[in-house]
Amino acid sequence: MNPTHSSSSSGGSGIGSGPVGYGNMPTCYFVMIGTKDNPIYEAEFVSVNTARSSSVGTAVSDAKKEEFRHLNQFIAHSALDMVEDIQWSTNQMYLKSIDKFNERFISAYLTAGSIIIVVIFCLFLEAFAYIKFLLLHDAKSEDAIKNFFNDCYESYIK
Amino acid sequence: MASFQPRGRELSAREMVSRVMSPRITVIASPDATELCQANHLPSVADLLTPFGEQIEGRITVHGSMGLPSSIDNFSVRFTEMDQLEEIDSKTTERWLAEVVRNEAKGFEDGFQIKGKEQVTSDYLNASADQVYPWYSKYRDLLLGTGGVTDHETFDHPVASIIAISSFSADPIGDIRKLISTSTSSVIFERAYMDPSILQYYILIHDNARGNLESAMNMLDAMRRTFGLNCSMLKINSVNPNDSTQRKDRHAYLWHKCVPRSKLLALGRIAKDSTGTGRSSFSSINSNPLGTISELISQRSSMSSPVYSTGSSSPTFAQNPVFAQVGNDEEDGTFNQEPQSKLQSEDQEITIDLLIHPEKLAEPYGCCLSNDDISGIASLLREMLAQVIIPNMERSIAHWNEQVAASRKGIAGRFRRYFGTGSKNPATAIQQSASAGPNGGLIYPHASPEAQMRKLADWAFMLRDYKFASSVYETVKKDFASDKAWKYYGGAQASQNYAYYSTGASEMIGLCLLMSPQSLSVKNDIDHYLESAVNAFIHKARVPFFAARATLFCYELFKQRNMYRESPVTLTRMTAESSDLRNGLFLEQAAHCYLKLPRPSVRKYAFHMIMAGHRFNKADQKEHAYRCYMAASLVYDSKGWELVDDHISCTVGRQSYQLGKSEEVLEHYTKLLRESRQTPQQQAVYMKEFLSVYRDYTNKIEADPLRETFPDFPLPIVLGQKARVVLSTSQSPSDKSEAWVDLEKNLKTNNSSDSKRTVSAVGEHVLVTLDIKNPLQIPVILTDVILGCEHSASTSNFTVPEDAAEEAHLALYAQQTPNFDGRVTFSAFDCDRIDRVIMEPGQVRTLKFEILPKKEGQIKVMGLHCNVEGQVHAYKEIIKRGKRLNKTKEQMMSQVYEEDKSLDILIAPEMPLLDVQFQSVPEMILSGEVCELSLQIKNLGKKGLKNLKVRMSHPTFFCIGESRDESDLGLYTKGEGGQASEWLEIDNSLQIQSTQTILEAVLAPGESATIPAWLRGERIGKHTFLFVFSYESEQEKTAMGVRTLRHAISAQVLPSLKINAFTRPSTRGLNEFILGIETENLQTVPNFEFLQISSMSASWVIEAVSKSEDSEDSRSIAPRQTVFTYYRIRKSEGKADTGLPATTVITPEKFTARALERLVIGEEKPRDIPPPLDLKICHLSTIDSHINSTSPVLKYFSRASRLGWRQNSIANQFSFIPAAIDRRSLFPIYGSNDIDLALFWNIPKMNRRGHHYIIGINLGVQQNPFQPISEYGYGTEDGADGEEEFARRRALYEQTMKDQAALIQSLTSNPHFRDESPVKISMKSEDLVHHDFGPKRLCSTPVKVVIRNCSWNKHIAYTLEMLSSKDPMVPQRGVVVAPGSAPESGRKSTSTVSTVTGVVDQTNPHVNAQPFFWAGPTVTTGYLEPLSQIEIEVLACFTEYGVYDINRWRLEVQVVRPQRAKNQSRKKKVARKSGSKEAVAAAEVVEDEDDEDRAPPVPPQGIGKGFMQMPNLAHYIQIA
Repeated sequence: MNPTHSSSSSGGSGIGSGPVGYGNMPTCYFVMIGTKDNPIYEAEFVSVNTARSSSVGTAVSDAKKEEFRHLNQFIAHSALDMVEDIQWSTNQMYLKSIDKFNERFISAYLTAGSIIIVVIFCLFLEAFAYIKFLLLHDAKSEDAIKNFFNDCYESYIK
Repeated sequence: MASFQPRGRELSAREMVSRVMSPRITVIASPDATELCQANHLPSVADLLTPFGEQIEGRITVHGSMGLPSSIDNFSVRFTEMDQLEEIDSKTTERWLAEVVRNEAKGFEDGFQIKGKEQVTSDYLNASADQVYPWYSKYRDLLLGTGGVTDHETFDHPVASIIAISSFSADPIGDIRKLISTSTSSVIFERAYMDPSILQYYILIHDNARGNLESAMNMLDAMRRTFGLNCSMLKINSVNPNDSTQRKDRHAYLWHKCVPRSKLLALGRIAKDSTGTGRSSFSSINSNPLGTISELISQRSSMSSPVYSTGSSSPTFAQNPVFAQVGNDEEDGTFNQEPQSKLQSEDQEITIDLLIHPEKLAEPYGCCLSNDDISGIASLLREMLAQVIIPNMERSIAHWNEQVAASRKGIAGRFRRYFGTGSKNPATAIQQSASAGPNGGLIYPHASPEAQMRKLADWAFMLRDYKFASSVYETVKKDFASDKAWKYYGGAQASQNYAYYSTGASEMIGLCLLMSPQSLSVKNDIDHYLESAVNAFIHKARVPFFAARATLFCYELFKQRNMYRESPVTLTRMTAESSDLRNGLFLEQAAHCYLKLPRPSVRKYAFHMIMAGHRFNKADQKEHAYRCYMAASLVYDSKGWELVDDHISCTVGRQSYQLGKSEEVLEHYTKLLRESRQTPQQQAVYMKEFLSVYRDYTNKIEADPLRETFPDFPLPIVLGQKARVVLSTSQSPSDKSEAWVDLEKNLKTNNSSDSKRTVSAVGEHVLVTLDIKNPLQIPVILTDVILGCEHSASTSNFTVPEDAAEEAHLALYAQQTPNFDGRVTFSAFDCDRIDRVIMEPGQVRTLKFEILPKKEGQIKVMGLHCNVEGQVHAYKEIIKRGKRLNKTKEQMMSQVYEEDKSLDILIAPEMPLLDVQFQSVPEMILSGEVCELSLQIKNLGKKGLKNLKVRMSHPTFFCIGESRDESDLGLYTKGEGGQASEWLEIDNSLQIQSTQTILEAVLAPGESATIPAWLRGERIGKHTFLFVFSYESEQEKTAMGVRTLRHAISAQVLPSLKINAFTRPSTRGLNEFILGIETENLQTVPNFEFLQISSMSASWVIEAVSKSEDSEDSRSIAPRQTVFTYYRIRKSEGKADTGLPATTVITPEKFTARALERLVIGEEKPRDIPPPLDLKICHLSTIDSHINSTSPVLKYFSRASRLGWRQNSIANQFSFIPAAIDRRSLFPIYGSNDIDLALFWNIPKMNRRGHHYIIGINLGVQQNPFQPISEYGYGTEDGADGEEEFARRRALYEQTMKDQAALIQSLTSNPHFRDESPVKISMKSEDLVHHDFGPKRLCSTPVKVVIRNCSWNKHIAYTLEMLSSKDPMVPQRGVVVAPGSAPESGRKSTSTVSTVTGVVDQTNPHVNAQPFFWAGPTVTTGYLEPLSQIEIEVLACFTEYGVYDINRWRLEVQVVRPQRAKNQSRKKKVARKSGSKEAVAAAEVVEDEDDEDRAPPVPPQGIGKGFMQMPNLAHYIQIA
């Protein structure tokens, strides 16, 4: 089949199916979204955990990665519904991890003007390490993500 | 009437589940019984019974586990033939499912078009599943119908068996026995998990029409005797099928669905058998063409791969960008090529018809059945159920519960289980090996307690005792689970199998919970159960069918409970599973679930639709994939998610290609060709694919791709805002465009609306520049690029024809081959064509096109035609907006733009076209130097040119158009030697000569003319001189009117001479001044040589101080040297001699004062211009002849210089006067006391000549030009005048009070002017008085004091007090010196002491060592009219020889009201009264005493300002 398609819905509930598609690079995808669901700013970067997870698998070539970039947009866009659900029930700007698609966790931050910042943390790790690492990761990075959002917000305001 | 009616409505989810899970009854019929059915076109007895089993009439009473009766509505049973118990081959099922689903996609229209929340209407929410996704229910029903017996559950195991024989049978008992033996020996019962002991029920089928009822009854009795009470008789076929009175298919609807279904299932099972055993082959098909359908079917399924394998091996885009041959009709194509395909395709059709169009194969089912027969069947079944089967089930349940379950539950049971299993497990193991289960794993035989428990639970479930069932499932599950733990050593296979069993149980627990009518308290449990069930089914047991079934049940039940939030989770749980079709369907369902949430999650919907589409695509369900993507793309539309958009466009494009929708392919591909984050490789692929698709498309519709315009083709991007129309005549806009605009402002006489239009003339090129951009990351080649223009004959309005663009293009297309010279000819204009433009990635290029208009009217630049990559013709409209309008509120709210007309070119008839050229323009010129230039004008146009005018940015630098004498320096014409001065009347108005007419006559086409011009270096610096020439056509009233031409030249002006001038009052007289000119040569090389100095003034003339001093030294200035020269300026005699009556003279000062007064009063805008003024021009030449500065050129220059200076100074001094007021009518250009000097020089060696102007010397008394005066004298004899004057003044003050207070304030206290005393005073006496002090002790000498009122309008009173030298009021000034003579020298000589400070000697600080004093009256008071003077004689007394400064007096001056001169008693003499009393001295008004605080505090004698004057120069007298 056409390579562009081959894993846009890269399946699996994760457990047992192992990492699918997208390569093993734990990349982060950062997007700021305007009030009309339009992306304002997008960025993709390799997460700080690269060092830890680099041993997990071989890096997938950039070209391959390129083909899955749209997936991030899909995920981010669909997460907006979750944001919408949550935003009225909290007065926090940082909405924590609101959604999850396969192994990707989506955290969101809501600005005063309803511009939504969504970050997708993609973690592709082996099934065993998965849970364990996630716990570690969550415990450690909750604040980090929050701080990151706050920084973004401040620079955005400026 | 038939009492049996099948349900028409859709089943509720719970009904559906319970129907699928309903008891199954096998049917075994003897051949003659089957025959009886076949008379009704029903293939078997089971088929006959099936529709009635689906809905048992009335309520069935069931006794639950506790023995309590409960009634069940809508109980149903399923009938299967004995040999149909097996499950169908899963691959066949999948094929069928795919076929069904694919079929549903055809012709489906998405009626809801969900874009956002707004579209999630109640219509959508209330729409039935068949409207939104009909394929889903088809899929679901078919999938659920294909189940078969399995080891882990008993729902598909028969609970009873019906044995049917015909009443025609000769030996019914024997038949029955035979049937029983076949049934028990059936293959299916070889399986360990099948319980062969089934309840039997016997039916004797009787043909009412043919058979003998009595014998049948006898037969039934015999059967009852033999087989017990479970026998009954069914009477059918009471109607002769050939009876035409009744419609044959009157009952057919009952079997509509179930007969094809059963046929299909039969086919599927046969297929499974055949594939399982592989007994049939191609050869057998060919050798047996007359085989039964089932045989044929078996062949079909064995070789079905060519049909269905396309899904997995279809050519991909990546491999074959040109799409190869993938079409909807592939199946036919494939089959037509094979010789034996005919039969197969028939079979194929039958299967597909069975699947999809059961109504096609419909036969008159039940044609022989009467209504009684039908109700008989129904009641038979009901009886059978109520009396036999259900009681039997109840008994079994009770039995098992007692025997097995209860023992398990108790402690003893557990105990036994844990310790007693050892003996049982090996047995299980043996059985397992004997009967290889479907998974090759461990199987519980039917007699094992676990299996029995399971059966117990299942049966309880069937009888809808969910609570009981659930509890039993729990127990069973635990057992299975613990078994799993026990048997873990048995290997993964075994453990998986245990999980399989326990999974089944947990599934059922979940289902039980869901099925029970109570509200759910523990949602999480259900989810948990189902999740583990599904996961285990998929990953461990690998039976996706059951996983799908569980999911479907769960989803349906969730739906019924409106648990839409949980549904997607359930549905997407399956996504890891391999069946793409199923996943696609489930994802789509999940997507719809998101919409049905209380707050519709449209974005989730879209995402899931995309995923569903993707899965459909993989499952080769192109239509569905396309549909899903399209539905999702509505949501993503125009939100700016580029990658998403690209992905959708790309996918949809390819899919629509495969579906053969060429137009849509193109539409989607065009969306891909844009600026995005696609990689260049991707874009190249897209482009290639697009081009090939377009080629195919155009081939298909038989169009020339270069002739037809591709609508809205995205390439290239035309940046309309940057499109410009530039006339070939206009010069490139420089950075000084503002300056140009300023110059052109008044030249264009057109009305304002047209002034913004571009106007060109026939036959003159118009240049259109257009920026286009390649948004892609790959290079794009454009060929045959041309502007799409439209011509209209009308100049006022422009109506664009509808197909303008197309028309232009066709014209272009027609011409492109023959005319390959880069220009395309249209009827009204020619236009450039660019053959080839290669656009680099992301490049912005500026294209230039020349348009040559050939007809009058308008040409509108509409768009750009080009061929992209030589294959697609695109037309891009040029959209250029005007300014955004922001006037009204609507305009502010929305974005409204002005219509832009800059791309419309007005084409005027043929026009003259001017070309100008300045010749011999020096690059460098000295300041003040005058150069000769010539201006070459040429008419390049087709019409005569007239009325040539020019406007310059530096009017003081240039003099154009004055005729020139033959000599090389015509400007410095030598005047007649004798006349050193002359009078010249000039226009004194401050007129700005903005536009200068150069040539009025007609300049014929092609002719040229030379016009003389001069350049004078007025200011130092580098200058760019801008000229705007304007001219008209000789033809009147053209659209263009006035044409203009810009021209610019530049030159640098270098410094030459630095000139400073100063004046000092001369001591010789009251109105004489000494003028000193300091001239510095700033150049390093040349010597400057003075030629002449000329003065221009109304009342002053210049004279040489002494002619003899005119030496060579002062005439020439060496480099870097400074020379002083002195001249005397004196009052000229005036031109009164000429006889002009003085009354008519309005001096410039008076004019200004009056104009200002009017301005203050607020009269309507003053229109007067100053009267002309007579200037006396006086030449002082160092050479024999003088330069006539009145020559036109010099006059022009001097006036221009003066004008420039005057404008500047007025702008400085009167900046507060509103700009709207025309300065021209307020101020004259020359004042009566101004004197301008012109200094002529040349550099002999370099042949450069020039002159400098010294402008701005005012020798009058300083006075604020704002002098409120009244026309007539105050207190004159005319009382009426006085009143009138009073009224005027009132008006003045009232105005003042209000709006003009500020103006008056600034006028009166103008810091640039301060009133000085208008009085000048000088003393005259003998310079040297010889006196012998011997005889006379006192030497007294008369001294004349001349007092002159120099003001032109002020009347003054004065008090002159002569002061003695000892007077303390006299400041002892140390500057007073005597030239050369000191008092101690004792020399008694008189000398006139020059007042020029440069020659004084400062040796004697005490001049008046010896005092002198005044004799006679020392205080004189008097009155002076304007411009009058008086001489007072006083006596100075000296006591000793010496040099005395007799300039000792004090003068108090007071401005007073005019007095009648005749009443002035003290006035002694009026000298030099130039005008009559009425005119000049008539009136004097002094209005305020406000601001003149500089005057010393003198007691006022009159009204107005007072001044105190003291001598500031010494006047020496020597007494000898």
